[in-house]
Amino acid sequence: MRAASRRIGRHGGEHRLVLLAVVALALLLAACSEGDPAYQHTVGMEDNYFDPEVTRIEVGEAVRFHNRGVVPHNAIDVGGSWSTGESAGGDRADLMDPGEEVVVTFDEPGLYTYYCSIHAPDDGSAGMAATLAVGDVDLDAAQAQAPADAVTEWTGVTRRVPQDHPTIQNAVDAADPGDLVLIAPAPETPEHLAEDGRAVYREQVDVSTPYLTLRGTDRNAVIIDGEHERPIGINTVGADGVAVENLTVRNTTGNGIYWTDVTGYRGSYLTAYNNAIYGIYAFDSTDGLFEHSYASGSKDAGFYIGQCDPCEGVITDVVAEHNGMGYSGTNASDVYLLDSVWRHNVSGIVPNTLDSQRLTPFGRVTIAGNLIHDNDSREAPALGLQWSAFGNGVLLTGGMDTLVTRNRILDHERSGVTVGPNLSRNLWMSGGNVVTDNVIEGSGYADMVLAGPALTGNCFAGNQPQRTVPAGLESIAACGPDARAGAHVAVADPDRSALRLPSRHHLAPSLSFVGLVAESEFGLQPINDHRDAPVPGDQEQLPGGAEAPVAPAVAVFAGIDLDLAAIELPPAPAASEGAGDASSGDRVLLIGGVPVGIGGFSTLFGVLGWLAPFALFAAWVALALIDLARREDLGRPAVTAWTAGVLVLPFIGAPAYLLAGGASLPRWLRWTAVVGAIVVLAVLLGAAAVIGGLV
Amino acid sequence: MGAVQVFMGLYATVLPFAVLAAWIAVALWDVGRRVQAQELGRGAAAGWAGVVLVVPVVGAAGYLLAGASLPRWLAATYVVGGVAAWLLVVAVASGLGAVG
Repeated sequence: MRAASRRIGRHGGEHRLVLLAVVALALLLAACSEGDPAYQHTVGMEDNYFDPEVTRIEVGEAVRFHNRGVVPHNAIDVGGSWSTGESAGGDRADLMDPGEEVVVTFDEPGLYTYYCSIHAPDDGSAGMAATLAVGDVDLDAAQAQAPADAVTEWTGVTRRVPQDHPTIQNAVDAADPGDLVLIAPAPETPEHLAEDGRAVYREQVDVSTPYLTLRGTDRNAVIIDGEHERPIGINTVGADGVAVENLTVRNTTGNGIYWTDVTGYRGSYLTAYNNAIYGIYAFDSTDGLFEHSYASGSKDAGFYIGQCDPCEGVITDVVAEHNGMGYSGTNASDVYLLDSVWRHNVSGIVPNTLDSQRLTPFGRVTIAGNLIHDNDSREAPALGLQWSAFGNGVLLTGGMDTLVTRNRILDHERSGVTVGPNLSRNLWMSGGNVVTDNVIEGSGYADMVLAGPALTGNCFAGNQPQRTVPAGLESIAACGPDARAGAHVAVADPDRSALRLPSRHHLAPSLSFVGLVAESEFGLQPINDHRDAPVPGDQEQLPGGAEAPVAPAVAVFAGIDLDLAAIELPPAPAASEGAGDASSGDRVLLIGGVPVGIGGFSTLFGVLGWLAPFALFAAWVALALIDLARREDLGRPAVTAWTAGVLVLPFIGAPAYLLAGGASLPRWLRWTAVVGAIVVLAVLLGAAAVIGGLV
Repeated sequence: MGAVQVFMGLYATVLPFAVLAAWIAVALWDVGRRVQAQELGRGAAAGWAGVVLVVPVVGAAGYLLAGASLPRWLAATYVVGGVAAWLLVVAVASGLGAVG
């Protein structure tokens, strides 16, 4: 079950305990009544922003902080006078899980800037920060800072760690924009010695100075260790142009290497492993590059770019394995995933649209030249939401105009490529996505899937799949001369068929995803601790090492030669890379698109949500036509008119005839077939939803 | 895309399968009726049932148009009307931007 605890707290005043008790009593009374308590002010904690950004309340009023996102958050006053953690009886920076609520009451007038400690700097100047005005105060006091001028070149200053500065944070704090922070392996002292015998930096590095370059002298020996206590390894918030190179971050409780609210970022030759949520992560940021990097052992995604449009972000020559998802990109548009390896994750590449973040929906993602295989791991760590994507190589959920081309996609328990909808607070459907010229083999459910409901323009060509859902996808949803897709790539091919039938998408795979959500809620999802994920071997060093040219991350995207036409299909993986594990490649039995044998809930929801309603509707139409054929009391015009009504009136024509058209069938039979069947189906579906923890 | 478009797109998707199922049901019902009326022997009935069930689309439609005891106008209404209804629904759905 999703955690939905309700915690309370208050801030300020001399009667803290008394008011706490009052608030607690009020909350208790509210909890005993039906529905949610009617708080006058609610601040939603989305991923990753507060909604609204400015809240005005009167002295003595309460604010309910509600985590409506899918990752933990908190709210902390910059001035230190309150926090959700303290108000809930814990520590200042305690996090609230998704669904949790904390109520804070304010007795003192003032203007409070507050922030989330893992998504904003502690001065609340950027990232996930917001303003609370209590009483009659001047909101204009919160003044925006003028952006710094870009520093496009290295200043020539190198700040060496540990030679000049004992900690990385110390060097970063001392640095000016354009400096190089050069980090050597930690000294072999007891304070730096980790359990595995390596010398590591045990710190979280918060970067608020723009245009720095943080570089390790040895990618495999310069290690920042969160010790499963600190939320982030390198945390760049609101500082444009920061490049991080040639080092390792591990064992954080949140993200390995993180940029948020920046223009210009670059991560090169990085290793991030066993970080709880994300490995290498850019949020609400544009103009960036992740290259020659490795990420494993994160419960959400190894690589993530989110909430940006246009992102102008490129991920190339990376490896992601043993994560919940290799790549996740929520509401991220104009992203390029190129020439990389995505393997042994719970799912491979998953651009997605969620209402918990801004800039819905995602679009114009280009996925080209990747080797994507065996993303159906039951040993990798994953959050519940991530489990719903299990077993898919590429899963486009609720996005537009994405191009998937010249990838080799092998051995997935579910699908090689699925284009489908995503149900967040809204239903986001996919449209205009183009899947061409991939090699897709060894998929258990189907090599390619168009899950419905879907928007128009999704097309498939040149993939030579062995099985698709719906069947014949390359024939009925071909990419004709009008095909459109991600930016910079022309996919229209006049030599290709333009045949496009309307009956294309299929509902069964969408319900299969619902089944996976139920599996997770029911407790059938494997629970794997990210701390137990495999430790990677040594990774490739930054060419030139410490002597490599220094360049702040300015105009990153413009400097990338995106010659997508030159991207080629990658070779097949070697057996030593674990291609084709025992669970992959076995075709499952499909009945009307419903998979049998890859999860009971998937089959159950496929049957109750698709097969049974469809069969019921078909039975109504058949009963109506048979009855019309038997009737001798109707003339030819009336029979013709009723036939037209049965067929043309969407879904209601047949039942309307059976119930009100004077059908000759016994009344009890007609009402049983229509009303009785609907009730039984609804009850069964409702029971399945309750058992599966969906409601 | 609004709810109306989703609704029409879904109907355009399922209607042809529902029509096919109805053709098969009407055809099998007619075969059974003819057996009861001793118009067909069991062997011929089994043969027609096999054609209706095994030959995709054409089997059921062919039986209704060529072999059924239904009035010819009714069989044509079901077969031609079924296809016409689907095309009409597709046209409406396309006009709403629900398919394409």
